[in-house]
Amino acid sequence: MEFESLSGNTYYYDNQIGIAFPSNPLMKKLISANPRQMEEIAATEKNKEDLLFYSRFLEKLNRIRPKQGGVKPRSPLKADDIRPLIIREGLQQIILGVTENCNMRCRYCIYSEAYSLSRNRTTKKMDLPTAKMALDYYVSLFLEGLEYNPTRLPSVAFYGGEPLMNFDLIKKCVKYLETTYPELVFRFSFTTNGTLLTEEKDDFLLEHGFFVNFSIDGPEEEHNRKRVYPGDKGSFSDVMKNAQRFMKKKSDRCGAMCVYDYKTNPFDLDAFFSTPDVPRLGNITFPNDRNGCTYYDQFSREDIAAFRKTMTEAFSYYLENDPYDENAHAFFYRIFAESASRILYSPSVLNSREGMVFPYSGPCIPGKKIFVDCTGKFHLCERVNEYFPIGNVRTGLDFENIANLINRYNEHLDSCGSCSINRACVKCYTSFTLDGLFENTSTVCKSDENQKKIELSRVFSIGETFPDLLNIKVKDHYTWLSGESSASGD
Amino acid sequence: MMYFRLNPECYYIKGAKNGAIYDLIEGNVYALTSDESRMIEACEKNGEADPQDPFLRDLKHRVVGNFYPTKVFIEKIRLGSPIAEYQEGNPPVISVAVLEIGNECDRSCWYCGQSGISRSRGCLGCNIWAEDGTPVGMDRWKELIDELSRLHCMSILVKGGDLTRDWEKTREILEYATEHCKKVILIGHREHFSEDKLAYLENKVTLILQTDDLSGIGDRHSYLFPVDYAKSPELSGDLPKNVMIDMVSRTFTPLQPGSPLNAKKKIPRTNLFTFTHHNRLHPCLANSVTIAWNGEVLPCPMMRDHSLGNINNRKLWTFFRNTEDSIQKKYWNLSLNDLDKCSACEFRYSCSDCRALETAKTGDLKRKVLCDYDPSEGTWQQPAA
Repeated sequence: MEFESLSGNTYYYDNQIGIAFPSNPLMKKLISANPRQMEEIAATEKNKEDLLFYSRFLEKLNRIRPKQGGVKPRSPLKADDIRPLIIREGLQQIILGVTENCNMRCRYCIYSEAYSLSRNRTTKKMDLPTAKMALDYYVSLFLEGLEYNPTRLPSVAFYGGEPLMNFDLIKKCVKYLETTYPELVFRFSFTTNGTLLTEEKDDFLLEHGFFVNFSIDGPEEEHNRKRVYPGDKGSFSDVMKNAQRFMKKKSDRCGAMCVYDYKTNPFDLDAFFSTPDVPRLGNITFPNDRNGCTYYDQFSREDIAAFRKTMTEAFSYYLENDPYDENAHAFFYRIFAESASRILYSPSVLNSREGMVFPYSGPCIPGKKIFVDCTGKFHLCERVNEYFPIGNVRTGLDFENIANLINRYNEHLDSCGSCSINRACVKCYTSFTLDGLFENTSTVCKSDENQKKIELSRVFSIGETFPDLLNIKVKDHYTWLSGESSASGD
Repeated sequence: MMYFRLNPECYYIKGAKNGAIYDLIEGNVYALTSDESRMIEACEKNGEADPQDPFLRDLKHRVVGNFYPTKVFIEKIRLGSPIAEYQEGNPPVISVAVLEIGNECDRSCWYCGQSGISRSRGCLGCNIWAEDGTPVGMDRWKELIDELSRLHCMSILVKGGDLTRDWEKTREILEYATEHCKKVILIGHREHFSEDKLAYLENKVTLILQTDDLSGIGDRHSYLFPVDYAKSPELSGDLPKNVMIDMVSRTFTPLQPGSPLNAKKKIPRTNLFTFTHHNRLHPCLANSVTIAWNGEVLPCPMMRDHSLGNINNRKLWTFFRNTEDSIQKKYWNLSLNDLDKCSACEFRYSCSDCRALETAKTGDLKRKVLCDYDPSEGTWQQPAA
């Protein structure tokens, strides 16, 4: 697949190896030439020096090229295959959905009326016996798994709705874990709308080492456009008051998560998140467009075109204005440089994928995280609707169901084998889930090659002017994010 | 004007004075002069380049880099995903676990570890040690093998002492190990093994036989041949490919410039795997663990003063926990980037390093003396004429 950077350089993405390199008409001819065509090229090409170079360069790459053609997953998987996998590689986090209630009515909330395939908001709360059963189960597997993978640290995240609406349960869970399992050091985290924090809650959270993610969408007008109380009153002033108070006590134990959409002005977000009294920006996302989503119906083609134009301007602006300074341009740094690093460095290069559980796309093995809802049911992920249960607190993880789920998932990757960007794909379940079914990749991934071209164009445009920027924060970014185990599960 | 960039498979590594280009597919490591290093550094930052420059044209001829009419981005070839590797929680990779199942022998070899002597390949040889402690029992050896299996250990190396003194014990451990591990290697002195014992072992394990002379060795096994360091330069001519030289010295002084221990020969060719590995991990200590005869857990069979604890009273997995005293954080992660003059050396991602010899000589875990190269000057110490 070829793509161009903003400066007009052409690159060729080699999907078998997993990297892109500069291309030109001669290189393009050589890449696709059969032996007879190679002879013709050799006879007619005037620039023998370049011909020799490109031929030998491609021959070098061919020496390390992994197996060609479609790779087969390790299948069909059985329950006996799954349990040892989870014990060794899973159990990275348990996420307790402590309540389905929320004191806000954010417009893009996955539990709002904008998402027909997700549950709606309810007043359900998790009770302590259910929480204890879930935690005991997680810890029992975790302790068993220490002999297979001693490097993990137990991680507990609290989810909602708005988790602070069941703060009492959170406190009891923390105290239960610390007294019942004193030999373990737990990492606690949660994401909050921030409106219900008090001094007392701050102190508890800090005392027990919590990392708190505040959902903050930007400056007041932008934030209040989307994040509102019932009755449409904006929540910005309440969130910022609490977030800034928390930051004054321990600024490195909190961060911000931002959702933006086609009506967002990226320059406003960049200015806002670059101020020192706003929590450090972590995850940035667009609203989920799956699960029967109607959120995007509000945007016209003109809105989308205007947004894309502004993002292009923002990208040029960023490249011209000290892109190395994360503090000067927090939003642009995340959305351009760190995203570009992720696009470049997330995919695995050269490793053979034959026999892997997931040779295509990038889902995790169910059980890597365990999401527990209020009733004690285990789910695939907190970002996936509730049509994919994988067990419950009474009987534990259903390894047979998990195996079937993985096998079904792999069966729906019908177009991955012939996809020209399959090695760069990091899509997960959220892209393919319906109401208990998976959509085929041939249905879902239609415009992905074009989207990947745009992404790679941006990545390589950054790299052309700032060759080392993409490397600088890769480790820092993921150490910070994965070490703080946000409930959004990055 | 043009620009010159190294290929995706070619990395420029900067030293204190000079640099080197690593071609990860061809395997070559090109040592550059100061001027060449400065030129490549400028080129790699998309500085302008003269298309007639003979040095750059030579690199193009070698298919190491190329000229471009505009500034380009060169994505480097790597193995895997650095983002996945940086995330916490990945299980440790144990490539080899050394089990020192015995500490008795009647031979009194002049190079044996008990005499306090240093060996360049003592890790692959048999030794006994003047140490106190309670020998690990049979049940605990088997439990250890189970624990290693749960940690997905790739190979087990069994050594002693004289492993034939309690042959039934050795057999029982080998039988158990071969049931639980794909690759088992056994090391012992050639004189200890009768033909029937060799016949038994050949069907089960990979053998490395330590020998004091090379007569009649054949090509069925690998051999370790200890030689006096002072006489090692006299070794010349072709040694059989299945023979490894083990240089032995009490002090390794005087350090002889040009000897294989310190000279350019210690820098092997590169490849994608070793380059990636050496970037973050120690070239030898990483991914290995040793359990001594008395249960002490060591990063290397020759680093006797570096015990991490004892498996007679601890489970093996506790040595790999995500703590500051884990074997990974104390030893495996000790890449040459962290060592003394290696951190300033452009060859550090290809070079070998023996912490056992270095610490025996200096007492310092991070010091490097067994090396003729001065990266601050870019010069090799030359042998006396």
